Amino acid sequence: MNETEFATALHACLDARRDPLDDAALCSWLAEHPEQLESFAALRQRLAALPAAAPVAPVARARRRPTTLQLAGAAVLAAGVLAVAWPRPEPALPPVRGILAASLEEQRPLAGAAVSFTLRQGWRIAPGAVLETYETRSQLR
Amino acid sequence: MAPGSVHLPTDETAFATFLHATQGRVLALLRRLCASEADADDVLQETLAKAWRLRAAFDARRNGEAWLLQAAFRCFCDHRERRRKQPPTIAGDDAEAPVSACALELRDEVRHRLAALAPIERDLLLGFHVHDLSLRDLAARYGLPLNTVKSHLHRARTRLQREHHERD
Repeated sequence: MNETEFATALHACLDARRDPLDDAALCSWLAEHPEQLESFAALRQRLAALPAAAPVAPVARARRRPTTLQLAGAAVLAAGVLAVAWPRPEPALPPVRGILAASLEEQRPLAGAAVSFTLRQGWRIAPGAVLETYETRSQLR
Repeated sequence: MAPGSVHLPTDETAFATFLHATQGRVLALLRRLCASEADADDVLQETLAKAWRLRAAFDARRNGEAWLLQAAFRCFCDHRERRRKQPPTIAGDDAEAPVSACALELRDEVRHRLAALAPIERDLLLGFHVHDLSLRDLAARYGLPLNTVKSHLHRARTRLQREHHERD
């Protein structure tokens, strides 16, 4: 077996997942060619070290538990978003200061000491809604 | 580096000096081959003792370092065979050991070599030797013929094996 044949047999042995030191022919050749021993030993040692030297596949980082500060920040943020996005009721119309309409009706009974008045007023309380109030007063003649 | 052309001295003092000067290289080889540093030390002692016993029978015209490495490899094979026949122990070779500085250095060296490989060679090498994918699985995954996968894999191993000063 020459050096090329030895290399072929060595790789065939490794391809078959066998230890070259279990192969009598390879061991015999190595013993007769001590100048190849160090190179062979280096290959065997480096192959054995491959698992330790192989780059580690990136692993997803473990999720950290949120801290109290992070929780508080998230709560404030959520409150802010809610405050902005929450549907607001229609703003109340400012109280109507003016009276839309009013009427005064005087009642003068012939026999009576007092005169009665009924005051009717209309108030706009919302767009398209008017509140009418009635007020009756009596006054001595 | 190939074993140098150091010829063995014949007298005992010179032979002892030779062993002392060469044992570091032998130990480096054994540490690469053995499962543990303790095993490597044991095999080194066996090798030195065997070399001392056989010093008179050695042909001084031969390459001394190559002879010693050869003796070390044979001692290692014998040691491995003896270990295999022993019943497994609970805390044997497979027990977890702390990662030594040498192991870290080796890991960094292999990482450096992996980074120097072509992406397809690196992926196939790791897929086969680390993720235990079969050659057929790799061929299907990368859409390559089986023989091409083997060629890439062999080239990747050869590059992993070469020393830094060696060129493609």
